[in-house]
Amino acid sequence: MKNSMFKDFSKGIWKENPVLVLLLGTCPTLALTSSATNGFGMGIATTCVLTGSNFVISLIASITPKKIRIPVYIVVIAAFVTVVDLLLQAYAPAALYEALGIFIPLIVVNCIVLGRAEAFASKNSPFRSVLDGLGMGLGFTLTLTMLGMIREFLTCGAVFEIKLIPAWTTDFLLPGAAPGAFIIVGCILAVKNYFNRRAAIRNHTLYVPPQGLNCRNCGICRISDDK
Amino acid sequence: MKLRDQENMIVLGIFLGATALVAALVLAVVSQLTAEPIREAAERNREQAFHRLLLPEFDRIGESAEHDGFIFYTVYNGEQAVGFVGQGVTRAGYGGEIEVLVGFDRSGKITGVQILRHKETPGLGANVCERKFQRTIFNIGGEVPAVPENRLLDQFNGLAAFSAGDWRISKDGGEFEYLTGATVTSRAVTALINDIAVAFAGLDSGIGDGEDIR
Repeated sequence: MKNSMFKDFSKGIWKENPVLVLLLGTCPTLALTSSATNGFGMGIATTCVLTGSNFVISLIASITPKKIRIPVYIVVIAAFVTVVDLLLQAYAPAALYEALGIFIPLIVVNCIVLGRAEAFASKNSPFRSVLDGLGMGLGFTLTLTMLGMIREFLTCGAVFEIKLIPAWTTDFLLPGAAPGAFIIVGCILAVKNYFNRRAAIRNHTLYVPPQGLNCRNCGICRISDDK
Repeated sequence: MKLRDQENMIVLGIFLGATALVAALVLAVVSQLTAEPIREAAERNREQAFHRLLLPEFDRIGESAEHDGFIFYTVYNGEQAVGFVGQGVTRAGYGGEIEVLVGFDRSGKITGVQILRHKETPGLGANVCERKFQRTIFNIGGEVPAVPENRLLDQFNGLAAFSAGDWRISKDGGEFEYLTGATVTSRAVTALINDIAVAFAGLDSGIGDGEDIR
């Protein structure tokens, strides 16, 4: 039991990392990681929304009519996002809100939040759903922070706004723009796949993505259930 | 029939309506609770921006007057009017409104420019709007200057308001440097500062001979 609880939490960090394995939430991943601070802030805000919405949705999933579950989930998620937005506006440092402000509303359409609601929270207990939300959120935050650090370093030689190489050019704009983000995410995916394959070869098997992510087994959209 | 398998349109409508109602109630409560802190945060933000305009020392933001769509404040040190602040908004940026404060001393010279709020792209347009001190590993514990520099905004420091009218970025044939990757934002902010300065110079105020703004 303990073990499976830990699994609920930890799978989001590596095995089912939302950005690098599920490839969800690509919009904020690309738009928001121009600096490490931005990526970290967005990760934390998403984690709050994800944990809260997972909790509420797992509570109401059993009484929600299947036919309208998606709009109901969206209402719950949108409410959480608005609450986070208001709280940040009221209590966060001005500089942080300035940096994140325009992206907070975008959490509503972040596929990770809706994806976890559909694929996990609606089928599992509130406790496990909260663990899943925290784990997925942590995986998202770590990935975004890492990506932000790489991009910030390439654009201006700084990490977390501390310039490591003062002479670094500031005219190299590609990594700071969305196309550069695509290229860097691609490189990270390649590295991750390399590690996965190497581990598989050592075990004399083939790398298969986690069951459930395969489109045939996946329950995220449940198209076949709807008539 | 269980609620989960319900297909009756009316029941579905009522359920969705009830969910929305609960969400609306929660939001109403949170919005009520945070209204005051948000207002205070905005006020703090504005006051801090005023102090970063490098105006002569002042202890009070006085009355405001509207002129040409801009708001002009007089700031006082005791009874003495020591400077003026013009506040304006442009929609010509890349992402919604940019609100700018321009400080003038009594001789009509610009003392400083601050962006009050903006929604420009981080890393590109936002560089025009933000004053961020660049820490390096060599000054990691050092002091942060009260007004970190900004390559675009600092160009206006010390210019006289009456010389405004044709302030443009160099890409449009003007004399002001703009930031790479942020041409649109640079253009918008420069135009707004120009308009505020023109409006300020046009104020029937006798600026420069110690008279009040009105």
